[in-house]
Order: sequence, then structure tokens, then C-alpha cells
Amino acid sequence: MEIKVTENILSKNDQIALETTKLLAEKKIYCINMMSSPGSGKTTILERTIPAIMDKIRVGVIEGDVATHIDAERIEKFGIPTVQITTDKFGGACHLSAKMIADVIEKLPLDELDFVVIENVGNLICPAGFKVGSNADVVVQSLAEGVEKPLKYPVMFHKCELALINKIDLEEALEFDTDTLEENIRKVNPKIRVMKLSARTGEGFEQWIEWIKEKVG
Amino acid sequence: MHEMSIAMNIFRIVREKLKKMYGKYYPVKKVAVNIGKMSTVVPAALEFCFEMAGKDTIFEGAELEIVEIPLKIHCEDCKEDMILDEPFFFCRKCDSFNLKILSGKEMNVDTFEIDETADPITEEAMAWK
Ligand SMILES: Nc1nc2c(ncn2[C@@H]2O[C@H](COP(=O)(O)OP(=O)(O)OP(=O)(O)O)[C@@H](O)[C@H]2O)c(=O)[nH]1
Ligand SMILES: [Mg+2]
Ligand SMILES: [Zn+2]
Repeated sequence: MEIKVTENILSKNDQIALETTKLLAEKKIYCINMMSSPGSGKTTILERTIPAIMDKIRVGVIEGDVATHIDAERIEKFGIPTVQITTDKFGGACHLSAKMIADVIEKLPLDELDFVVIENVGNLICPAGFKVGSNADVVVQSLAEGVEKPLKYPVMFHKCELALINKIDLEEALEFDTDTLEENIRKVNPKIRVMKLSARTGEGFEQWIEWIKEKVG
Repeated sequence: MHEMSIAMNIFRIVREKLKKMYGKYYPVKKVAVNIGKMSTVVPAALEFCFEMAGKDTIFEGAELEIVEIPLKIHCEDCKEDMILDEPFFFCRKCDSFNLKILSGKEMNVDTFEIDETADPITEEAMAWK
């Protein structure tokens, strides 16, 4: 006998994500989900961003570095609320699910925050499929990864509203064609905002900080 | 590789439906899912996970039918609908970026088939599975 269902396979994840979105809205918090391949510079970007905004914006971070506490420790040194997702010492998790976020979000002092950053697991495929309840999705890609990443991982780049091209300090050394990278990003997502920056030198950070201030309001 | 959690969610949806309909669980012969081109699911990987994780459950030996849904858009400028064979988001007719996605993001359990002539498994027995 055939039985009709027509239910979204990730409906449960989406429901939980929606709960998180509601909770954050209640607390008047703006939340971003930062995604990238491993090592594109998410944590380094945060290390430069936090001191630039923390006098005006109360920020908290959820670290999805599931294998170690290293990234959380790098953020904690700024004295801001930081939560580490439960660890898997063999690095088995490929993405953060809505439930993983919902389980830890209230460990952050939500009444005392304006802005929450989720640093997702370094992976350009799996996190693209799982909503976590954020207000904006941000993808980071570094020059070291080549110009074709957006074409190979279109779903991720399509889903995000902002792309940060990081490590532009390496442009000359790598003889990198940043314009082609930007073109490729726009091919899969014509509406995305693209910013070029270097977490190493701080170049290009003004517009990124401006973006945060605008969004957090 | 998140196909394992996709497979587990498929099992959950089918079980919940069976529970609601019968209060017990019949062996499942087939599950049909719709998977959009823009869903990041790799069909072969999903088939593998479905088969492995289904062992010793009501899903053992069940067929997984994956219907791939093309990426289809509507151009808001020239009003044309078209299927995109590559995930490059511009209108193939007028070059506009002003598009609406009609399909391609699906990830649905559509239908499933059970063997209602077989002995059903009760809720308590399921707990051991
Ligand atoms: N040259 C250069 N190196 C950078 C820049 N940003 C980050 N790095 C380096 O790139 C490496 C990885 O940076 P992380 O910030 O740890 O990257 P991540 O995305 O957080 O990595 P995972 O959390 O492991 O996915 C480190 O050695 C950084 O020092 C940059 O703008 N320029
Ligand atoms: Mg990191
Ligand atoms: Zn058109």
C-alpha cells in the first residue's frame, strides 16, 4: 500500500531553527552564521572584529570547532561570552544543526547581548543544508583556495547574503585573480554582497564593521 | 557528508506517519523522496546510508527511489520559465539576474509503501530497534 506524506526531510531542523530565531528576536539580538572551508580565516576575522566593535556592540560567540577548544580560547581572551559546541575529538561532525545551537544558545547571557556570531564547522557543503536560526548567512573564502570554489560549492554561495574574500594581503604573492573570484561568486549569486579584506593586515575591515553596525542597529 | 542525518530523518518521518496511522509499524518496501539539484544531497551517498542504517529495522531491504528535481527559475523581466543545467543565476534568454526559483531546493519524503500483510511491530518492540 502506498502512503502519501510530502514532508520536508529537514522540517524538524527548520522548526528548531525557527524557535532559535524567535528567541533571538525576543532578545533583540542579531545573529550571523559564518561558514567557510577549513582555514579560510573565520576565527582570525573575529579576532580583529571583536575589539573593533566591542565598545559599542555587546557580542557573544558560538564556536563550532567541534574537535578542539582552540578557537573558543582564541575568542575568550577578549573577555566576551563564548560557548563551545560539545566536542568530538575525532572531528566527525560536518555541520552544526539547529538542535546543536538550540542546546547551547541559552548558555550565552542573551539579555546582555546585541550580536551573536556562530562560527560553523569548516565545510562548504553540509552547513549549507542546515538552518541554525541565524538572521544572516556569511561565507568566507580566502585567496589561497583558488577562484573556482564558488562554482564547485554553488549552494553555499547562493545561500549567503555576504561573501568575505579574505587574505587579500596574499594577492601579489599568489598572483591571484581576485576579480575572477568575485565574478564566479556573482555567477552563482548575483545579489550577494562581496567584500575584500585581510584579517592579517586589517585592510578592508571598515566596510565589514560598517555592515555589522548597520545590521545590529 | 550529511546524508546519514538525511537518512535518519527519512526514517523518522515514515515512522511518525505509521505511528499516527496504525499505532504500529509495518515493514517498509519502498520510500520515494524528491531531491532538488540545489539541496547538496549526493544521491549515491544517500542510497548507501539508507541501506546501511536501515539494517535490522522496518526499512531493511527497502527500495529508496530518489526523484531528482531540476533547478527551474522564472525570469521576472522577460517572464520566461526555464531549467538551468548549471547553477549560474542569470536568465538564459535576456541575461537578467531578477529570477525567482520555482524548483530545485526540495528535500521531501513524497510517498512510501508498506507490506501490510506482514506482522507489524509494536511500539515496545520498536524501542529495541
Ligand atoms: N596571510 C593571511 N593569513 C591569514 C589571514 N586570515 C587568517 N590567516 C591565517 O590562516 C590560518 C587559518 O585561520 P583561522 O582563522 O584559524 O581559520 P578558520 O576559518 O577559523 O579555520 P577553521 O576554524 O579550522 O575552519 C591561520 O594561520 C591564520 O593566521 C589573512 O588575512 N592573511
Ligand atoms: Mg576557526
Ligand atoms: Zn529573462
